Amino acid sequence: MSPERWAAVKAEAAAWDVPSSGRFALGGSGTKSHFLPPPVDPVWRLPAPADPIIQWMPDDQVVVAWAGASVADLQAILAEKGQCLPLPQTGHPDVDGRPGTLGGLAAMNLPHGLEAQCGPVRDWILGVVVRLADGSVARAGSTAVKSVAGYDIHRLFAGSRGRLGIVAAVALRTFPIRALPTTSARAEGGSSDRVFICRTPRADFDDFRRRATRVIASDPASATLWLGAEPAGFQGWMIGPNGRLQPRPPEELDRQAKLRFDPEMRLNLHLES
Amino acid sequence: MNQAEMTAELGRILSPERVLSGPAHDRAYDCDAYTVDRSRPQVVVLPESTAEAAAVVAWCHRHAVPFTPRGAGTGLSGGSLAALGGVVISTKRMTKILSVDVENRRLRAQAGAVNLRLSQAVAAHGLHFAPDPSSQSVSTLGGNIAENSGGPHTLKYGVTVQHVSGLTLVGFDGRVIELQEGPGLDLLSLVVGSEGTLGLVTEAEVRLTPNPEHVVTLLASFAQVRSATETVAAIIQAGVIPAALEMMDHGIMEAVRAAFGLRFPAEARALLLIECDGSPDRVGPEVETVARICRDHACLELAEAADSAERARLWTARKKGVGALGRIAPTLVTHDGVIPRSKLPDMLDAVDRIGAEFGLKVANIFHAGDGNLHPIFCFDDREPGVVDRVVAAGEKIMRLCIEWGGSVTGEHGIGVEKLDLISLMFDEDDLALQRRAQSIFHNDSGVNPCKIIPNQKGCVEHMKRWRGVAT
Repeated sequence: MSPERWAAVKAEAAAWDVPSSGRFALGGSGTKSHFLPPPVDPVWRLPAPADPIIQWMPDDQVVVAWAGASVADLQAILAEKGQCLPLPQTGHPDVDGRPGTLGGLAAMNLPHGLEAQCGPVRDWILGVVVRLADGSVARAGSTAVKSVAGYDIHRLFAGSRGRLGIVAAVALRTFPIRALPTTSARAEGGSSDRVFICRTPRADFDDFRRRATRVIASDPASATLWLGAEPAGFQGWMIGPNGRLQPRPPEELDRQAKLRFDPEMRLNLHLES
Repeated sequence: MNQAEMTAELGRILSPERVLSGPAHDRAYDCDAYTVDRSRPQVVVLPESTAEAAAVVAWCHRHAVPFTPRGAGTGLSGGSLAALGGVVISTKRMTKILSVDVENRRLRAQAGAVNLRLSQAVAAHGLHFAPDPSSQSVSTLGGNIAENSGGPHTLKYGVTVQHVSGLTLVGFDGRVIELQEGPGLDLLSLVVGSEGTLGLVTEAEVRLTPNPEHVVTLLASFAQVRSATETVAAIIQAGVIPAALEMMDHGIMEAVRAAFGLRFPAEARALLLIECDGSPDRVGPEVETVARICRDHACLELAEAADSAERARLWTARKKGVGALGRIAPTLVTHDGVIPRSKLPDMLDAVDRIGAEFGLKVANIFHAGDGNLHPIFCFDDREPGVVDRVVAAGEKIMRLCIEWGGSVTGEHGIGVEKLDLISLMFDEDDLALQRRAQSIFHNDSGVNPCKIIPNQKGCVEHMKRWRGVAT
């Protein structure tokens, strides 16, 4: 996408009625709210765009879309030309990655059942337009499938849970449907009102799965387990209900990141510990 | 503090023989593979461990001396150019592979370990380290991390950041930071590709990739460059993701014909090297699709490697193409840009036109699958004024890359080479965002200054130097 087009996207995001003072939280469609603590500040949601697509280059397998668009709507449009975002569509919410809005998909970067074969959501993100709490709007990354110009801030925003700023638009690499692998993830019949997503070292996976109680789903290819009960000590990382993350990130750097991007501490503060 | 004092103090921190200074070392370390620009370090140091590296960085911080990390010095954008009055911290004594975990497909190594050595260390287990830049027999893991290196197999296997699961970073004041993959903020993705501007990476943990079950390598030749580029576009549109999709034009073909006696059909003006890999049941149909598309675009000849020896032979044009250009001209400058794959045919026409406009011979090698082009200008730097024409021609190509929605760099990084060009791609707000990201790690002008982010003045002594004559 040309610099002029990026500028137009930024101008549109700059015009959104985001609160200009005071604290606020970001909300999407709520599909992943289980993994977050409830917001304590007023919730602001991205506008739902009339057309999810900002620019689509089907021949290049790259699309730029509004973060407020629903992933389902985007998938339907991409399918018209035999393309998709490579999320499983098994009907099992956890295996499918609980997609809601595109912004939420990016902000949460949850494991999904095609991660071993097609990468995490973060790997599909080529660029973003972000609006920070101070109102400034900027672009990181590009629509090139490969670029090393500057820091990969678009990758930093993936999985950042809205703590650093609002993702307004996302440039994504798409995938040909006809080449889509089959997921090796399986629903295992367990269910729960609590979900813990666990990523174990490959060598530990089988043993861990055997020992785990309340297995909701499993994916040996990516060594991921969705559990209905908190696992006893294990090597690996975990996303739990209510904002639980294990391990916790390095405290000093995490604090610096928040301070640099949201110095007035206005945004999504329910996610700060 | 003068050079003698620096040498003495750092010699006490490390050991005297691992602190280098003087005219011979100045010349050896005054540039990387981006040779049009040089900058003399005050001192070069060779730590052997994270602790030693941290001690050096802490000393630099205390004495307000800038430092620049350096691996093998194969970088192509001047990323390891020494800062004015600065220390170059070389990782070439930190070459150990520290641990290999075959079951979990992880390997931990010091930053100075050579890329290819990592794959060699695990080859017996049917594993390899996927990022395979052309420099891989020399370039280091730390350098690959600094530049987020690619290579011919990135289209399918990703770039370096997709293969790093952890690293040890010495921060601006000598603090040691461990970063690990996990569900929190992805700081790893900031450090990978940061060109040594966030600190010094001393160790890294990488993911290992299983070797593919089955590999088929094809070499297709075409009478028209446009047929080859349109073949590339058609392969992508057909939904095929080859393991490699590399293009070489007649400039390269001429050189490898002369250097290695490789033979191509007389009318051939472009070559496509296509590699498909995976399970046998997937590779077969993929190869058939690719072969059909090549034939549909009038390929002259389609060779398929019958064994690994032949595979190596087919890859020669790609792997030795740039080196072979040394027979044709004494000076080469390799540019690096990215455009959408669909723009490949137009871009190659444009490169041809720009070459003609500036009176320069240009050969083209590139990772056609991801639109990453490397136009290589071949000239004699003794010719008056030619360097300026090479720089101007390169800039014109980069401007097109930006205009067409690509990037000013696919692999080589910004370094010093593209400090002006990054401002064409990113505006002031975008660059402010870049500064914010950097400030997570430090606000210190001592950490490899004058790289990536423009408007840091006077921190590299640029000595544009050709054949020993400074200008």
